[in-house]
Amino acid sequence: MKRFTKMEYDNPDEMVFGFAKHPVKTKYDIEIGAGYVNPIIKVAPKEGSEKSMESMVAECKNIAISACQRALNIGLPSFIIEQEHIAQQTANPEWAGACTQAQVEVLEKFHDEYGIKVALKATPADIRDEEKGSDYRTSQQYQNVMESVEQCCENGASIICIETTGGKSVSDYGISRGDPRAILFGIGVLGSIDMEFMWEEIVKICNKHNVIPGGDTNCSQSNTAMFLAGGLLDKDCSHTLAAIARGIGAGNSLVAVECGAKGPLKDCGYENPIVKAISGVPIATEGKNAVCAHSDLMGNLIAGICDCWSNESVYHREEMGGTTPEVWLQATGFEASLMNTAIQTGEEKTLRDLYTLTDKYRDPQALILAYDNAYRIGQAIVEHGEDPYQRSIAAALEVGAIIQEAVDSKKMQLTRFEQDSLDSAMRTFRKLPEDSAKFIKRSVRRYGRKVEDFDPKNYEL
Amino acid sequence: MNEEFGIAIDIGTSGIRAQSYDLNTNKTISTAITLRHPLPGANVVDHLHFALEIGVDEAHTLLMRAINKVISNLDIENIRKIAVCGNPIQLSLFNNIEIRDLAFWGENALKEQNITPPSRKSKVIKSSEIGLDAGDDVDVYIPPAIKHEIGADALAMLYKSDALNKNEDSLIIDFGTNAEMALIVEGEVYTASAAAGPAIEGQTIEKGRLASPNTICDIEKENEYWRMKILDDELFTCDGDLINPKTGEVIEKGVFEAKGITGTGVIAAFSLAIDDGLMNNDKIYLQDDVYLTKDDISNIGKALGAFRAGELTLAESSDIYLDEIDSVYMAGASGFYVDAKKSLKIGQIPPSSAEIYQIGNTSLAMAKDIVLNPKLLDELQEIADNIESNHIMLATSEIFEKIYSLELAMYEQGMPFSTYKQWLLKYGFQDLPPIEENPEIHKLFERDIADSGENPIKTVDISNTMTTQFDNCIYCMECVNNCPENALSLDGEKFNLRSDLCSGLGCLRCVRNCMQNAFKYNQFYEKSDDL
Amino acid sequence: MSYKDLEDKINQEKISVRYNVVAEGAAMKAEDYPEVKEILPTDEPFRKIALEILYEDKINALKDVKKSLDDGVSPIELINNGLMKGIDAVSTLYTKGVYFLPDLMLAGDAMMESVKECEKVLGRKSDTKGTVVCFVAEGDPHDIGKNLILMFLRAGGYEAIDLGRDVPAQRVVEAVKEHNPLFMTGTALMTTTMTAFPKVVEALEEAGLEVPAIGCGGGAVRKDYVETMPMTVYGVEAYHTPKLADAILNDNKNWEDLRKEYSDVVGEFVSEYAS
Repeated sequence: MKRFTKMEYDNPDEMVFGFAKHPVKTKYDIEIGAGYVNPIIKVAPKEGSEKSMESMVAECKNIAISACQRALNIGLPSFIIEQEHIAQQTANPEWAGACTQAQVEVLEKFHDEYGIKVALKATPADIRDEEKGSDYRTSQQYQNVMESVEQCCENGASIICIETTGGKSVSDYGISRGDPRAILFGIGVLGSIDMEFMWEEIVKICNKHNVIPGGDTNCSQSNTAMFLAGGLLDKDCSHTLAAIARGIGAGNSLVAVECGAKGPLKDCGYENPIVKAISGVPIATEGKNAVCAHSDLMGNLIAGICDCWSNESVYHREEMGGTTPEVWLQATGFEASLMNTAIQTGEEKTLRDLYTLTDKYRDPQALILAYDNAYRIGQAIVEHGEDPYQRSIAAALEVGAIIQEAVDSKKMQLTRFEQDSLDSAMRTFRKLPEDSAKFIKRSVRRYGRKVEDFDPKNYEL
Repeated sequence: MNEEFGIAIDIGTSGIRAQSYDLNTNKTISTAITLRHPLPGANVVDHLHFALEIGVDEAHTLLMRAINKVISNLDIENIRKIAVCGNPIQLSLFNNIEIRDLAFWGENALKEQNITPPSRKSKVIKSSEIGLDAGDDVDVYIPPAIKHEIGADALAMLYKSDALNKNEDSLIIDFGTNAEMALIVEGEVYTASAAAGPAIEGQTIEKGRLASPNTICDIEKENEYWRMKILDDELFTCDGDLINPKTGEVIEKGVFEAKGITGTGVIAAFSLAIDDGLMNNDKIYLQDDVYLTKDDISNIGKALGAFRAGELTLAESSDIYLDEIDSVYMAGASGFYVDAKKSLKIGQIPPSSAEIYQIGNTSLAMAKDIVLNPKLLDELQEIADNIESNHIMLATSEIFEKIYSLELAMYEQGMPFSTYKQWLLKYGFQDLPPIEENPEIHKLFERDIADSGENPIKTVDISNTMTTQFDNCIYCMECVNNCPENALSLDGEKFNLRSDLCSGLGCLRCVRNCMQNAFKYNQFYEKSDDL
Repeated sequence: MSYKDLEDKINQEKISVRYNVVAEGAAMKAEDYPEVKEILPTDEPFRKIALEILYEDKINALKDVKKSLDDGVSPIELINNGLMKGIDAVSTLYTKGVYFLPDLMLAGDAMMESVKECEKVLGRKSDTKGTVVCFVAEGDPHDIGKNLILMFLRAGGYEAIDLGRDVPAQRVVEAVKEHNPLFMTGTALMTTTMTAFPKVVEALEEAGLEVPAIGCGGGAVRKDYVETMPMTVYGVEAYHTPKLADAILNDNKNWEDLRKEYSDVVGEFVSEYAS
């Protein structure tokens, strides 16, 4: 595995939506990051459909048909369906295979008939249990995850993604208690160790089947911080601390790319602009058109340099404007159209800047993901690129510096709570040992006792 | 039948506890305790001060008189062995050896006064040497101090907690007027002694008192009100009034009257005051004109702050995070009866304490072990020798100074707790861990003395009255009326002073309130035939 | 238009409002308090140095003081227009309840070290209002209180001589002979060590020396005890010390006056002196 120690982009202004340094091409004529933005539609099977494989397959098929029909009806040149597994699909790899096959057949039919560019992105669930003695790396659940990846590949998926959850027990502890060290250890160290383990295997399987290994996300960790941080008036987790978690999360998501993931990275990785700045792979992001799934404070900004634009997730059901696959593909599809129009008219950088500026100073979490700041965090990461621990500290400190500069230049104000937790985290990080072995040894000891579900053996520590 | 008995004695700052054992069966026969220390004063420095001012011999005599009375109340004959335990000051008074080295710090005062610190290693003496009345002249076992200021009482908590033999990092604290602390990190022992006492034991609190009948010893929350828990005549806890602490309004009348509040009561009130946001109220109302003032809260805070600063200093000195400590042992009576969950919340023990052991009176327990197996004395000396290295003198520790000044800023100036935490980091110290919500609390026994024998515990009255007369006295009664402990009374033209009740040289309100400057405290002891 | 131009054009309030800041107020920096703004100098290098004292940044304060001295800036001006302004701002925030004890200790340390640098160039001690000698009673190791007193005296413009802890009476006598202080402070935490105060007074009297007042205070020390001997004044708070010294310096007060007028001298109600 080769770690990133330099930036793939020479400067932040080079980055814009629809273009990636290393575009990806797959079957059904679709390209990603090659000059246009693809909308993504992701719909979860409705409750009850998990009762049997047959009902699950039928459900998936209906979702695909609805999406394709709406895509045609509103004139989308391209779109991607992401099939994000519910636990039962991954736990039964033959279901995963059958569901993939059902959706691929639909997509292929519409592609053949109308020439619409399509792809199926399959995302098995990380169903491993993180608890003491759970044999994270060999358990039946682990084997089912890998078997599901294999099944999705064999049955026609274009791209494989996953949301690995390594280190979550420790980072959850840190986020809920405001312990920056636990956040750094859980995301930056444990998350990175686990992602490397998972992706070496996933890339092998994808390569065997000539399927694109897409990417991972730090969703299970820094999105937990984001959700807990909530809106401006929520105080369960400080927004500055959530921003720090995000910065550290970038170094984590980068690991999949270092193992051979080619993009598009997973939509829920809000850290993706940073990863794109470092690695040049195409990314999927989500924001204002993912309100069906959750609320965030960077609804426009996060579109600034995306290559695919997603709705995150929604249950399969009826809305007034149609079924959810129809409604939400229409939302992401029209947004992608706006971006593509900007590209066609040469105004893509203006739109990128407008997207960015709508939210840049809304919240520290948004600020650090503005493409210019994302680039800075990327630089901090690659400077210490060889060591996941050290690059996590570097990312966290850069996040702190960016926020502090905005405060000092009076562009953004923080509450005392936000400022204090930022100061406190910065001091903690500056005080950490340089030697990762020392930090890891201490943290294993500390969180091995404090966090019930954390078993160092799951990370071979 | 030829029965032979042994006696264990714990000389504590707030009282003496003794037990007798059948040496053939090792069974506990009887237990006798006092609710007071015979010397005036409410903390060990007061006792020390008394011995310096009035005389070491007088102090020794008062102490032995009380101990002999306690022994006679054990109702046994054929005493063969006696073992004692206590802090260095009490054991030195008992042994009648030099104590002045414990009264001063640094070389100057010792040099000037020609003081040579005596050996405080383990020793065996004869009861007749120290005026101990045991029938025959029997062996008396005195366990070793670990180091100058860290006495046999600290050794007892280490030994009885068995923490040295466990493969874990632990914190052991004996909560008395002085808190003896030991932190064991990877087998190495770091010790310190935090002089937090007075407020925690109720002294320096306006309505504070030692545990005695009609004192508030705990408070529980009932809806938005506070339920007073009051000690009855036999020191059992009973329900007192249900009170609105903001107004003093009595919501529901209880059975017992309240005249003061004990240290554990103070801790309970402090903890609830934090919960209910009453920390800045001018007055917190408890039952029957017992209340806490803003100054009281500040004093309690500073005392608790000494614990927290001491614990942090130990952790910083041994390079461990507080939340890496596996187990916390609370020794001593107040460490036993206090609600450990409250202790953890208010900073008496580290907030992250997940495994808490309330191990009771370890001094008496160790004295018992010695009397049943005198060979243990050598083993204890060996343990003491091996842990002699890492003592942290808090008064001269820079770490402690910095952290304690944060406590002062918080409780004297109202610095917010968040700023306190910021400062810890600014100084380069560890952050305080969050509060453990579900600590495992192990209370090993029902009472702080695990096994009191078949007979009921005897409470021994060691009241000791000193009498004197003052020239120039106009009998205005200001001295008597201002005595907070009702230790002083007038009998004709003579004043009677109850030594055991008197708060001693730390108080002297009698002297201060004498408008004639006639009241001479020392005279009770100097010109008295009672000694 | 460039990204920067676009950004500069924006009126942020028309786009998004941080309602949490609206509700709670923004975290304010020390230099932004109006009282502090008034004190802080505007000229460089004084402003920079004053800010470094305000932010308790000893390393950079020392660095910039040395650099300014190398550049030929007058050491007296550095002290008066830079360092003292900084510490003045610190005291102001302390009175306001924004800064606390530890701030005083750190800022005071930064200031004292910087003053020493200036004095090296000056070739002598800088001018102070007067000299105060501070000691901890013999046999007593507790010196937090004394250290605070040093800090307040120095911030108040006095030269404070630190005799340390566990100080024998004879050492105090020598210090009085050497420095002829305007005022003296003695502190003790233990009841067993406050007995050192009468010994100090006796030793001074024996040596035929007198100081206008000895402020005695600390944990165990009581007013009535202090007032059993001459020359002493019971000191209640560490921050009262420069005010007591001012009264001696400016109004020729002695210990007897201070005992009578304590509350007036320190400018606040002091319950210990109420009756």
